[in-house]
Amino acid sequence: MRARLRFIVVAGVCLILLSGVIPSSAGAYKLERDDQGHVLHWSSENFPVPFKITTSSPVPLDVFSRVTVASFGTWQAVKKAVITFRSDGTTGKKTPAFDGENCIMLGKGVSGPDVIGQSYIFYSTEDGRILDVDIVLNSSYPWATDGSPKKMDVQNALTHEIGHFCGLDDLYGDDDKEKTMYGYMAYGETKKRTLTPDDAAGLAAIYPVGQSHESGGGGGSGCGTLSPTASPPRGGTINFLWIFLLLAVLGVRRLLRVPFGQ
Amino acid sequence: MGYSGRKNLGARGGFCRLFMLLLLLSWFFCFPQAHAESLDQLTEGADVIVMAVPVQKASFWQNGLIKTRALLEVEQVVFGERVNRKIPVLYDGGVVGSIGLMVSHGVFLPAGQKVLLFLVDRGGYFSVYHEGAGVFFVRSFDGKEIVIPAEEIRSRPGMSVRSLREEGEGIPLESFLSRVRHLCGERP
Repeated sequence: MRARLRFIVVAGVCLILLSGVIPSSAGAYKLERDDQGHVLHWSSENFPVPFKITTSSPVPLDVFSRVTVASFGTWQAVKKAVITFRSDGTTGKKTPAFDGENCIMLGKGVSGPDVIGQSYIFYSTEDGRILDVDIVLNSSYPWATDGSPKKMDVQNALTHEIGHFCGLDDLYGDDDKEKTMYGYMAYGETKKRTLTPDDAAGLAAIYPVGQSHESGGGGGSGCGTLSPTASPPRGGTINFLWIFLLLAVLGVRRLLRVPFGQ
Repeated sequence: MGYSGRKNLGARGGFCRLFMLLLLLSWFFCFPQAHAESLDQLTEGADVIVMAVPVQKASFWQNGLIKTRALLEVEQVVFGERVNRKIPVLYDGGVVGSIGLMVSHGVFLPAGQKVLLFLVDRGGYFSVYHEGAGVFFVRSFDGKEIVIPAEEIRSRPGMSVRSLREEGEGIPLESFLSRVRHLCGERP
């Protein structure tokens, strides 16, 4: 009888701990919101959203142009989302500013010393509508486009920053490390060039197919449909859950075979 | 009939131990870890490290950008000399009229929120070293003060189950401060 009680206690503790693991899987993507809770978003009136690249580029200008277009193209290719972009040539602009031009530039001293790239997002406080975005890549770093191990990859950084450009926020969880919107980047890293399903889901939450985007896909109203911690299934935690379930089944089977005291 | 034997009981105990071990491992892997690797850099690069509360904020346009000047009331100087009781901190971002500027990886200082800041003295004002990564929120959780990197809770509206869990996973303030003081002591 004591053994049965002990097993029930252990199983109870395990279940409580297990229930604690499940909610920790939340946070598949996060949306940029202003202080009033508006989701930052481009209005569909702005589609295709124009962008320019700076002539003082981190790599040869034609290469910079190509990888910038490719980075925007990665987000535009998300099937469940509707947002389009348009390359609008080059500009001599060197610092971010609210001027109606969305620029991708190389800058020194604008960002903090260890910030590789930053997005300056100007928005309307009335509804979270994005008005102007400038992306600055820190010129203090060496840049490349081939994943060189001692350089920062332009397309890797830009794909992340364009996530901000669209209205997605950084992620910092341990289980976010493979995502494009993970907030840290390493030399030679290229994995952010490709979106994970969670990155794509974040974009689709702001720009859902078949809706206009005057209020950030519905999130601007503050209702729960665009929860920043909405969580489509994800690999890591789900795998753990399967292990637990398997072990639980094995445990029950073993328990059934072992006679308890009467 | 009594127990069927120690062997079976041992097997069940082993199973439970394995289960618990896997649970603990999953716990470790599922929660965000503190970015301890950057604390050395933050401590090394900061002129001043303070625990303070933003008491006043004002945003304005400057060279095409919105900047915010926050006045902080210093509660404790962890590192640095000749730090006034109230210090101004300048950063990019803020709201002027109907236009706001949000800067990714930028500084986020909500009014009234106690923060631990790694600052650079700009002569007349301070800026946050390492931008948003140089801001840590100090919050009370379960009767104790804990430290959470501001970047990890920025823009999270309200308190969710997840954020509560993360609050619980924050670093105890005293441990964090003693680590910072230790690193400050190692500075040349």
